[in-house]
Amino acid sequence: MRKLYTLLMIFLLVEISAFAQKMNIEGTIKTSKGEALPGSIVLIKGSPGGVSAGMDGKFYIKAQNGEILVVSFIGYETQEITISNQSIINIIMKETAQQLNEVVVTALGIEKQKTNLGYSISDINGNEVVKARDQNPITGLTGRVAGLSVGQSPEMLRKPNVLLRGNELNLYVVDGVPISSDTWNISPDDIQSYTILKGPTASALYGSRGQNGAILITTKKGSGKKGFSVEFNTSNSWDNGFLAFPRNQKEYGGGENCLYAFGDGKGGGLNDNDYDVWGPKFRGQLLPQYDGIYHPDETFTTTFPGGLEYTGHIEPTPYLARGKNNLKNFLQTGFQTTNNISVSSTGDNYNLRLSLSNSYQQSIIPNMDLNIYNFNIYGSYNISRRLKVEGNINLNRQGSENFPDVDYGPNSIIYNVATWTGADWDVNDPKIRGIWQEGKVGTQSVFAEYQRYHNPWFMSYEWLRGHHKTDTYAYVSANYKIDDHININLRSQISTYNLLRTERMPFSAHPYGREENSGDYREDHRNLFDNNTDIQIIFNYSVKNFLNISGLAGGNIRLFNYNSNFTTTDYLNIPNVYSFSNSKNPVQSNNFESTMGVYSGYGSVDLGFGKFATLALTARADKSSALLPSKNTTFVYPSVSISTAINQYVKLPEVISYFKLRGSFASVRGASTSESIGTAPFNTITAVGGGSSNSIYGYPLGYGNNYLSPYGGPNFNLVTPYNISKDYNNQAAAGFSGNLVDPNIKASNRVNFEGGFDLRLFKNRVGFDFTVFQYLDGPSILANSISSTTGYETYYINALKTRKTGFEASLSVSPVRNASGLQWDVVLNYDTYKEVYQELPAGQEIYQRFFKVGDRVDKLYSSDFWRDSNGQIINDNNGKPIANPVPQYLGDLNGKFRWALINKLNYKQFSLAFQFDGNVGGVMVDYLHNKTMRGGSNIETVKGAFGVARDLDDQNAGDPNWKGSYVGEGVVVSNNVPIEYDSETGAITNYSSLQFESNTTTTQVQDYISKYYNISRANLMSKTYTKLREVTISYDLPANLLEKTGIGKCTISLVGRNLIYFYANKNFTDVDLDQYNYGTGSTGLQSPTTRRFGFNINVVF
Amino acid sequence: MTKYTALLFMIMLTFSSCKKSFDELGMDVNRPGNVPPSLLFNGVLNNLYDSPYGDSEKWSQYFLQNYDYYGNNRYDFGSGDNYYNTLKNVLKMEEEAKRIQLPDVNAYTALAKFLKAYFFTKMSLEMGDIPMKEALQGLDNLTPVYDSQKDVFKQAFEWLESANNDLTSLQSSANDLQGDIYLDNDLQNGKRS
Repeated sequence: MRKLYTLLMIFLLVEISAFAQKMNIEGTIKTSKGEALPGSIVLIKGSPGGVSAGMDGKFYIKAQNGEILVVSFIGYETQEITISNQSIINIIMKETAQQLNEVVVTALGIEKQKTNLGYSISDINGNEVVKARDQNPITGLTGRVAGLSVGQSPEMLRKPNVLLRGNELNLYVVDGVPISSDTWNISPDDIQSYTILKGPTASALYGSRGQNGAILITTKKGSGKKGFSVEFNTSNSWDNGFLAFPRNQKEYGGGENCLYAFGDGKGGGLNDNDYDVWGPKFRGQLLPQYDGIYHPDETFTTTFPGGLEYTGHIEPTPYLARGKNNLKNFLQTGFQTTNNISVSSTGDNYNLRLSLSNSYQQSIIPNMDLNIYNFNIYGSYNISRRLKVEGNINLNRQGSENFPDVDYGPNSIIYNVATWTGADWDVNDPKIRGIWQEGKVGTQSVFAEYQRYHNPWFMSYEWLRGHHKTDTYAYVSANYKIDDHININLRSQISTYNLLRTERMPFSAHPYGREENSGDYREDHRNLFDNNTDIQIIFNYSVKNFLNISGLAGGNIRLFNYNSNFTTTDYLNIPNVYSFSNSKNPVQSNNFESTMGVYSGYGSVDLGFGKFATLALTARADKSSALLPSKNTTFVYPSVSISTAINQYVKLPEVISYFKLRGSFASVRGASTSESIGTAPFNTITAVGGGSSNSIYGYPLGYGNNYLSPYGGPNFNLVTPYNISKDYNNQAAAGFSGNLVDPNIKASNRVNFEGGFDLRLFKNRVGFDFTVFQYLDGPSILANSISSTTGYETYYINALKTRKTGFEASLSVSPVRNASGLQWDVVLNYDTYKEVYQELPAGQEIYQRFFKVGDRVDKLYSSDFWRDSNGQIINDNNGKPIANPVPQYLGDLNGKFRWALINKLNYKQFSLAFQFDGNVGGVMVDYLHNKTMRGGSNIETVKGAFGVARDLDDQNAGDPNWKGSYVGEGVVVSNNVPIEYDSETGAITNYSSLQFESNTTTTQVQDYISKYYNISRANLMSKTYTKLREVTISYDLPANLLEKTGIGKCTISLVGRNLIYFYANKNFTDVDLDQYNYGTGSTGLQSPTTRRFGFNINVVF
Repeated sequence: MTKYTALLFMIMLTFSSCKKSFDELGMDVNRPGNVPPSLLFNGVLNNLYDSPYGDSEKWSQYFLQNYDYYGNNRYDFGSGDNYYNTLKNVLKMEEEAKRIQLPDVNAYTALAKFLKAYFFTKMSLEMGDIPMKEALQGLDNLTPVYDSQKDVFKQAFEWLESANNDLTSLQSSANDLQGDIYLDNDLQNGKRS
């Protein structure tokens, strides 16, 4: 009995003492890179049960001195820590050499281990992109991610065309919240990393906005280590040397059929207004020109070689090529500078970061520049152990007093200087630089022509376009940990912008539709306000060591509001007074307003089966007001993905260090929304040159660029109201909508299947990622054409299915990894896709005149020549080619594949990187080539046979009997039998009754070229090209140099971008293909593209 | 805990305050669902005229075009005029006149008959047989059958007869017509032409 009692006492004592000594222990589990490891398991060795680390890597456990904590997580070396009087134990986990263990940011800002993801995702460190900096944070991603194509625009303020697998991407997410962005309102210096979600599975949690994938941006939130730090970055670059430039001839000036004489520039002379560049040859002969002296009492007669005479009051002067390089002489060196300073502070309970940036760009076109200011402040505070609040505001202000508009028309520098005027005037002539005529400052400009074309200095210094945009995005969130396994998150976020664009058109400007030369003033106001409020419950449970269940359930309310107003004068009374009160005719105005509400619920569950596999499921339901007035406003869509790292449970050959298979499926629905919006939605203004419109892309003017700003709201395609226009004398007229809508119409659909693998060999020295995908799109919300005899043009139904298949491959090799510090990494990216029609609308065998099931959707049908059975061009009886009345298949708009080769060499503190990328395949019509050939300014018109014949035309200028000397290639019909053809295919059906003989009819070069080069086939260019995209050399200053200065790190880089443009056919090097990375039938006009050289200095204190 | 919950809830409500109902959020406030018939009349009259510099003038040999850049003088006839959209607006004009409770026989219905006769006969003169009886029914008939040219003209004459009678009887009463850009709302002029 006594023994029992002693035993009991000892037992109790031991128990009590053990109990008394159990302490609360907490800590944070992180990787060696400083990233949290949520879900890590912490056990007490020998005891049952354990805890898992929360979303921020923090864990709490009760243990006593002497006990051993066992910390483990898949892919990391398990650690054992003996407790000895610590209450806080922070643990850094080391990756086991074998697999990918980075944590990446996925949809909704949730961090996950890359190895567990069943879909394709790419992440890029912000610092890599910053070194070879571009002002625009997205352009720096060109070529780095297989499947992501970034088409940079050479025009200031135009956003790059960002495509993921061929679809335009417009979902930008910053720190888990979607923002409205045209890419210019994000500061590159604030970006810590980019994650590219390539397909719908990755972005299923974002709903219909994520149909085409998303770019997630994680901003810097403080240095991670305790204390105060300052970082400074400056980036400066200059533009020098042209890559793509118009190719103009300098042998002939303005005019028609080699005849020209200046009278008044408005038709009072001989071909002196709205002319082509088919004028006389520069032979020094005397001709009346724009700057000749006017003699009111005397006339002068000029005789042309062919006998024609012209008599006028202007004294003839020698006709010479005075302006051989007008465009080059007019453009200046472009310059860009971006400076950023950021201050951050981290403490026990808080994290704070402030960042201020300024970016200034000076265009290559004089008097045009852009200033962007960005202010970003982030703060987080742990109110208690369980409650944390976070907030972030980013304020961005873009301002330009004048930016270029080179879209085709008299408002464009390229139109005026490189297309429709010749070398007979010199851009550096003092009278032309002086802009105004003597005594007529502000009312009449000086130029070589006065009806259609403009003096480029006048266009740059007097015709001003302003752009001022204030962009704000901000969020406030609170996170409450209910216990170690569940936390609840509440967040509200706004994204809003205010935009004002103005145009001050001076007297003497006369673009399309504004021929009175009396000036105008216009204002374009746009305001967008988008608010999202989310509540989420996030959980993470482990069952034994085997099954891990984590995920979230949440709800979201989105409220969207947009309004815009476009107002313009209708000519001005007094020059230089740019105000609506100065309008000569009634002021015209158009406004637009829209609202949208989307209520959503979503959930996601990740089931981790130990080291074997991870299965992820998501589901989302949206109720969107953008589908009204249909009855089906709610739609649901799921996704499922699975990944398994085979090397973790199967013994593979030693050479394979990691092998993961992944597969996924997702379905995404879309409402009737548009990602962008135009200048005057549902435009009713017709007095200033534009037409009324029943689309949100309406445009009120007859010239210039229709600026599209980010939108994301309803497009009202499914609503059928009356449209108002002012057709006659400012009186309102109404017309009923031409659309019929299926009352049961539903959201559009995309189903995505994706699969792939990630392979690492030779201890990660060789890596190969491969993804194959298929998008089944449809039925979409289709605007199907119907017979106009019903009274309507379009019937909106759910119809049309397309299938897009493709794959992406990325190979990375580290051929050299020396102990001495030399490292060489090579990455090769490749991607391809193809989209075909799978199902046409019911009852239709043909879609849009030419397409059948199985056809690629990007087949280009345009004008082509008629040819005989030997392939020879058929000409008409005037010796000019005949265009086939039925458009023909000329090629595919999208390329066969895209590729990029990125090389990086590192040696101690130095690194050298260079990148090549390009596109293979695809065709497009070069519009500038069409216009410069038909207009006579292209250099091809003076070379070869054209050149010889053109010279002869000039020697016979004005001779009414001269029929030209150029004989067009090909044949003519010799037996007067009319050509019969199939009206569907354009094929000639009566070859047997036609007789052909070689063409012998001569023509003047101008007439032949005008006909020949109006046919798309003659201007068809291949889209195959390669660019040496960038070369970067950087140097990290060694630590011993910096010791005394207090600087922690300093890096200096030299950068060259857009260095070489390789394109096979020099006839089409007037176009830089970068901005045409999407399938389009024709180019527009573009500013010449340049090489850029600069340097970057980054300092961290 | 409760203090914080209340705070969080308040924040959520503040930011997502919606005063509009779901249906109101989806409304298009920019364009009207109904308009006075005078506006439709104005629009129809604007579509009535043939502007100069069209292909019809070239084919009727009022002028020549010999500058290849802008066009040529070939007789490549394409399709004829398509007034079905305008005819739909004529029918809408009659509907809207009824909606604002004008008498059954009013200026708009009378002129509508004339306009229908004008447009159908003009199209038929260019293209021959055209859909008429089954046309302009929207979703109710997406594939209207063609009527013979003879039937089109017969119907047109009936419309003109009826229009003439209506205009005569309307002359004596008050004139509700507005939106006339040619003849200044005077029905007498309308009847004469």
